[in-house]
Amino acid sequence: MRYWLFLILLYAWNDVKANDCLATVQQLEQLPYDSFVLAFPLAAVPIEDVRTLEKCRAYMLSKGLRWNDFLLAMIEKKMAATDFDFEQLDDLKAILSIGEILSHSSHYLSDTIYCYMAGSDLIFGGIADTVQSLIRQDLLDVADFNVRYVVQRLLDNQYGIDIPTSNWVKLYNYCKEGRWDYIWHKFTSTYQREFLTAVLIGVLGLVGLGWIWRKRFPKFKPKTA
Amino acid sequence: MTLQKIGVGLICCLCCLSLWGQRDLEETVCQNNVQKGIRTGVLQQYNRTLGYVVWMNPAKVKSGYFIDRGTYPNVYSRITDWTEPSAILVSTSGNYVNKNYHQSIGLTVDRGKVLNKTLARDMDGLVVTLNGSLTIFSVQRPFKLPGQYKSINASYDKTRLLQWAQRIKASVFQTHLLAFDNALTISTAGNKKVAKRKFLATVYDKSGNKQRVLFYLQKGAYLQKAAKQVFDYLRVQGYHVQAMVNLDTGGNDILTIDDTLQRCNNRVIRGFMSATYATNLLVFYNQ
Repeated sequence: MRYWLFLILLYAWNDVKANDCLATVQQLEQLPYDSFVLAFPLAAVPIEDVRTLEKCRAYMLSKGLRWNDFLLAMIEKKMAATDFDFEQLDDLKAILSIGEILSHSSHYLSDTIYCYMAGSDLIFGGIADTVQSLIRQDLLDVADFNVRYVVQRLLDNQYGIDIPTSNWVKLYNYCKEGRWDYIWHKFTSTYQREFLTAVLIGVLGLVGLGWIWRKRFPKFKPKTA
Repeated sequence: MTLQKIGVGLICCLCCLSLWGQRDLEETVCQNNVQKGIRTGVLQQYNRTLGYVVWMNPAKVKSGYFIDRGTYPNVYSRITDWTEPSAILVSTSGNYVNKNYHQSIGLTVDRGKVLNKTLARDMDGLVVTLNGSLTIFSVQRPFKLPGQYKSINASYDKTRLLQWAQRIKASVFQTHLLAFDNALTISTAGNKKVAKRKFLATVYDKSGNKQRVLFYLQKGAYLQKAAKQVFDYLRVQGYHVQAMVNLDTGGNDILTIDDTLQRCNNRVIRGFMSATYATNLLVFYNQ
């Protein structure tokens, strides 16, 4: 155990080249898998460089090392290090780009490699879940340009976000579509109480206005003797 | 003595009232077409019509799910072009759609075409249709996809599920799971607003015969309350409820039934909206 710990520290001291996945794998391959993942500077690996990842994958598989778990661990580290700052989108844009590169791997690699698709799903799914949760907690303004940008980018990659629609917006849309029968049905069933209250207030308001009008501008003045 | 009598009387009244409140649903058969494998009925409580029920025999009635309208003006046009309109027995709205963004909510695949890859975390029901069959899975539990040996968990193996659906041209959609494996899965937190309800259940009778049942409750009800009522009704009738999911109503309240079967209790079983407004449709048809 101490020996592995010593090796991990030694490699950390030697400044493993995170940007060269293959070289780093070769440096660390004699470690047991868990220690290997622990020692590997996962967050620093440029995942967008699929060419190098492919070499890394081929090498690791030839050595009997678990590539799929390793790639997903790398992505998880990257996601954990991502700053979900909607003021400055740099971090989010970078991770979205990685997701896109991985999800399009079937177009530039000879065969669809499952782990890249799963990796892209981990990225997009993770971002979609976070955005959805922030929207539900009212911590994100859905009208904000940056939020809309991220939502649209997710949508472009087939990850839809359920943005709550207010009843007023729904009403406006139904009016635009001319679905008057549905609107009437909604007012007389679901919102029956509110509808009747509004009608009652309206009628009382009109009667009150009429009464004030009559008081201020009496049509017929009573004859005085 | 008089106070005691009043007390006993009050207790008796309360007992009677509670028993009256627990009175079960009653179903009266309206149409029964054994050849087509479909039966319709009216659901009543205290002689008051609550809604309708449609029983379908999966051996005769096939299912399909459509959401992508393609080049057609609407989803219904696509279906009528795909099959003979006379073969369609029931068509109903399926999953929820965010109409402002023209986006289905939750995981959605239409015959292999992936439309939404986001797994909605608050919806545990996963409906899969393939070659006329319909299966309801729980996202929370591992399951075997048709023709697959390995169990998958939709949360962890979503990519595998999507790749399978794309390869085999299956349709998938997500919705609220109300009951699974003979137990209610919805909590009272689901009682948010009163609305019309539409449920789809797959049940087994005592002989092990499978049935698909569509409940359409036109009287407004809370989701959990209505689900419990329907679930209890099925259990009392001796059915094993494999799964029950919620189907969309509201602005997408679509339910159309074959002309020869739609009349029930001097009324027509029909949703509020016309099928041409459908954003997605779950259809049941004879082959």
